[in-house]
Amino acid sequence: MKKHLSVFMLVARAGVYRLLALFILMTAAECALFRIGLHSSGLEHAVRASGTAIVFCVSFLLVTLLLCSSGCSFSSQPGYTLRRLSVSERSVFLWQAGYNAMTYLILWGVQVLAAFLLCRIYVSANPDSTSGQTVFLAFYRNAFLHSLLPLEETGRWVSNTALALGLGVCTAAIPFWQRRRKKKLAPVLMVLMAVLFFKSPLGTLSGNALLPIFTGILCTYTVRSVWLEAKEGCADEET
Amino acid sequence: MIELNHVSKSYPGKKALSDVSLRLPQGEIVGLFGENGAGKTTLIKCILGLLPHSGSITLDGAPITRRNIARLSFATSEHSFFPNLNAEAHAGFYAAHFPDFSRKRFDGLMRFFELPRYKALRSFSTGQKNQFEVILALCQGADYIFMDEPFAGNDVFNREDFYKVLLGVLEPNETVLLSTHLIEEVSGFIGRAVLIRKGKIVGDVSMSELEESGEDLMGYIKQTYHYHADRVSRALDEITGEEE
Repeated sequence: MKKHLSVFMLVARAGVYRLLALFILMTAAECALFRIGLHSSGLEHAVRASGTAIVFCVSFLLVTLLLCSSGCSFSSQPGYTLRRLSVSERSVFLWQAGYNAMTYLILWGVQVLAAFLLCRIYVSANPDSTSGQTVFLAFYRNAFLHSLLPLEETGRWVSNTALALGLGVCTAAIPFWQRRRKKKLAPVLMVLMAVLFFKSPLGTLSGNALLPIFTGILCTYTVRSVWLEAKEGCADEET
Repeated sequence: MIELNHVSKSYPGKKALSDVSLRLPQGEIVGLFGENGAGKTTLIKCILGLLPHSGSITLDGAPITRRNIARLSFATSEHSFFPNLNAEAHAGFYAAHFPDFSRKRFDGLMRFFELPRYKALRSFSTGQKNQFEVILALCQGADYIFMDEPFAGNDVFNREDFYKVLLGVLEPNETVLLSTHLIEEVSGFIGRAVLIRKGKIVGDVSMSELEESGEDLMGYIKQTYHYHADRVSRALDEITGEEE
């Protein structure tokens, strides 16, 4: 287990501080932009006008970039070491996938907390016209807020969790293929799908059904191709 | 002993290794020489299982797999460390994966080369990166240490230090296969020279055999490669000579 833990630590150490800094920056940027639209008519309008969803989208892409770049290396060939370890390269891939998925779940969690913070700021600034009910309704009616916290829409919870896991798996495959000087389209499709379909209104087919189905397909394809490639012994690398 | 039997490797459109058979007993320092593209790197990568190949490569009679790969270490000019980690993190990681990792040797070599311990390796100079790469290979606790152009980019004083350290720290059971172009620099301390050309072993001689025959390593290599010393002057004559 110590060996596996060391692989997880290796993956985590590569970019954890940059990720933390990014989470802080994201929250700070959202709060700063929200203050501009603080006196808009309605919480949902204030969230839309302050571009919170855009900041989250940019942060999501930056997190993806950080996760991919911390696993890839162009100045060195850590793959030579990874392939000489006592744990298999498949295990290394799984640890990387787990860490990446966890990072996406944390990003989601941080964004939910940031959204609560924005709501609190709005309620404090407009005490006469708002209440807890305003916040509750905003999380139902605003597509972005609802996608963040789907309340009783179980399908969306499943969809979001599947998306985080799928993104974890697909982004973990990028350094794996980079070490073999190969390129695959699945991670790009996965990220594109998340950007396009994460923000879906309540009860839509794309958010509840299509997203988890496509995530499952891309995940299965990615895991299968990595499994077949990382055969025991040696890798089919061409120099 | 590492034993290669009829090992061949092809890249698309190119035969990189052709029917190579070689034995590497424990406790030797072996120089691997050859021109660029001769197959030195490919040979080492095949032994380490980094490249698929035909033929067999065994370590004490057993195929090289994850079970015994810790007995082999690798220092390459391409660098195999993790650039985002610092030296201490590498030591911890290696200690977890290679049971014979020598912390004492690691600390000693880090002090000797005055390398920073808590600075990410991506910010090291090329020379420092090479030093650290070799330190990791020497400290892994491997019986067979493969070095592929480990001093590319290091100045002559630095390399001199390296050679001294290498000779000083090696245990009698440790084998080094050193692939390099710096023939004259290493001829003083290698025990055996293996010459590779166009993917084939064209020469394999011990330094004591050379000594007995009164020949030097450079002379042996030139002879084996049928090197014509006058080819430069002939080419210059052709280039600079008057046109008819």
